[in-house]
Amino acid sequence: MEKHTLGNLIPYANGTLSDKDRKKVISSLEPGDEYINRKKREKEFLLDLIPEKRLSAIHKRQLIQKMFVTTDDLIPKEKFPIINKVKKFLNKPVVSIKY
Amino acid sequence: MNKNKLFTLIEPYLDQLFSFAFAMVGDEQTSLNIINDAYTVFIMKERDTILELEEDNDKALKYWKNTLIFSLYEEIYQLARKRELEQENIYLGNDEFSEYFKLSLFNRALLFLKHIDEMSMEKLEMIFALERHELVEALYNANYKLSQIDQSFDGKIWS
Repeated sequence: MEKHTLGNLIPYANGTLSDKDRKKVISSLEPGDEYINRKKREKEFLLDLIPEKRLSAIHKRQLIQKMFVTTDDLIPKEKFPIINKVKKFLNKPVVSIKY
Repeated sequence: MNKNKLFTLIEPYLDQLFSFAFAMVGDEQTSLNIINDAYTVFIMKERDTILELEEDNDKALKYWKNTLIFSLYEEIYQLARKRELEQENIYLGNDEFSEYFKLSLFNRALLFLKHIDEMSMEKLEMIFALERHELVEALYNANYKLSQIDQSFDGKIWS
């Protein structure tokens, strides 16, 4: 396995690697590697400081209701079925002959 | 596409969108309003596509679903930015994450999308209209600023 060098750790440190490449870099490091442990601690530290608020069931209902009203205001109900009906009609052949 | 189909596409992302909006404005009710405003802008922009999109066209639906969530993130960020410019103090107070909310809106958005949502660098470049090297620099600075505000971490992680 290729050993990590400063060159291939820079994109890892910058977070610009794809998932696949990141796994490759991690697997090239020895278990308990100081660098990788430090990066893990750094990530955990940052994650603790950034809020990840969950949407409560009540708020979700409120939001969906608001969005339904917005959709109705901007795209009136009758617009949806008319276009679909016309498309379905146009997609079907007017006359079909059975042999 | 009918209204129900539209909602089946959006609903799974509501939690993520709410988390992002909250990280931008720091208040639950304002977050809900900002998501609805972003959705309004999105519907106005995509109205024709929504009406034309056929429910049985899986390929088109998949493509549209990918752009949908990305566009909503973009709109939420832009709206939060406008609100911040209009009101002097958009942040309504959140003791638990006060250090995070001391950062600028740009840094907050960048940190959230990179660390919580694990968004790809390509998408981040598009949302913030930055070149790759500028984005890497901005990310480094945002990480550094947050770590400087909170001094509880044991050791110099950015050296």
